[in-house]
Amino acid sequence: MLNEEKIRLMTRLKVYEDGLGVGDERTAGYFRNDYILSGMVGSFVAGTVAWGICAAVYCGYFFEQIFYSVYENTLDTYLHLALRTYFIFIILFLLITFLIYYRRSAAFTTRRRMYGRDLEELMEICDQEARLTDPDAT
Amino acid sequence: MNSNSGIYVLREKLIQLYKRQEFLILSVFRFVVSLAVLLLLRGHLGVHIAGGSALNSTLLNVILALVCSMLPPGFSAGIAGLVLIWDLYKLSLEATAICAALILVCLLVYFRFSPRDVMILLLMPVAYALKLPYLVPILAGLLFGPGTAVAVVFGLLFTEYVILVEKMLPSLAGTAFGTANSGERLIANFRGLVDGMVNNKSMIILMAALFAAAIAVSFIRRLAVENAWTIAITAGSILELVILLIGDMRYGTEIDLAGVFVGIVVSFLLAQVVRFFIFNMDYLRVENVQFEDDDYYYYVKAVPKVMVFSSDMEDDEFDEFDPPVIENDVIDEE
Repeated sequence: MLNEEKIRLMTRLKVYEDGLGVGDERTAGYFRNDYILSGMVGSFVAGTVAWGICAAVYCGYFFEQIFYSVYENTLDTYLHLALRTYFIFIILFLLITFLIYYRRSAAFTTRRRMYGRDLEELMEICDQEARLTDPDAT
Repeated sequence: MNSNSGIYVLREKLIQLYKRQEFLILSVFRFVVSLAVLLLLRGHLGVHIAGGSALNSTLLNVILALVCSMLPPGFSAGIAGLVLIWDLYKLSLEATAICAALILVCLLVYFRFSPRDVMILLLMPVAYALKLPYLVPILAGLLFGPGTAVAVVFGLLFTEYVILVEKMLPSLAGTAFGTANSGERLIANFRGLVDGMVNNKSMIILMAALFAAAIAVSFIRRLAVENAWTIAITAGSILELVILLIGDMRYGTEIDLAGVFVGIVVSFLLAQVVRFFIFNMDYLRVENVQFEDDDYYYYVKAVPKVMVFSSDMEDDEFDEFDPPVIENDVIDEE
């Protein structure tokens, strides 16, 4: 005889395992702080490369002015501008990354907690069935 | 039977059809969008390539679109990006460099967080060609989150860039990779392209309007008020119109106000149609799972229920709605 509650639980667990659980399995290998930190390190690298690309376009656009500033020894202005824009951009980008990864880790924790609760409920049902079929089973 | 209930029965039938054939319907949708994007690229850039381009072949575009329909959306956007880069490579070195820079920045800054939003990148040029760019941020706000506003802006950026390159082709002619060019001409063309983007006030105002609309629609539709989706669509449409009008008055962009008004009205109506069909759908897909225990093998098909709450429906919809009885996937009208 089929236990519908057990089937419902197993179906829900399997749907999670095949869907969001795949990504959550990777996230589960990290502590929360490590997960957020890994995202921020990735964003630091990606942000630096993106800023570098934008800086290259800027240099291409103002090529003549930058070229002459080397001879006139006024390159400091451009370097200060570059450093200022870089630090402002990277700090904002890292802050956004932190918020995104913090929200993701919170959502992951909720899903894992519900998954764990469903697993415990399933184990209880299995234990009950085992006791019914074999009362001497421990 | 009340004549209005017929449309609700039709909606239920279409929803059930979608749930049964979700994979096929989404594949057809991706095929149509990918093919439209590839044909638009051919129409704007491919036809100007001296000696023709291998990618101008309709058959090749259909094959690429078929491939895109079978792959995840990220691959579709990647293939469209490669076709764009290839066409620009054949036309102008400076245009290729700027486009490559845009694509890389786009990937590094945004799509590493939300790779699933690339469909919006593909939808924007199609909507723009249909004179309905105002529809994309409203749909993005309804169906996704506020972050999709960035994808909408990027989609518009790439669309406007392709149009700009096509407009500047006479001055860019002869600067394809491998031709002899003076450095001054390359830098002048480079500056011209950057100026064309940065000084394009109508593009910037349109970006601001679409960005604001996507954010507003996304936040308003989540509010716990009656008819939240309708209010969100209305607010998004009005916000687009207001920002475009203010931008036109402030910066004298000379946009076609009649065209904008008609476009926004049509977008509003289409968004209402989407709301009518999509709102009551559970976004969980049909799941086919297999598992076993000690006694049985289970092959389970989990079909999401259509959840309709009275506070979510319009008053006239609720009064006249007769929920159909579903037996064995066949809808019986009561």
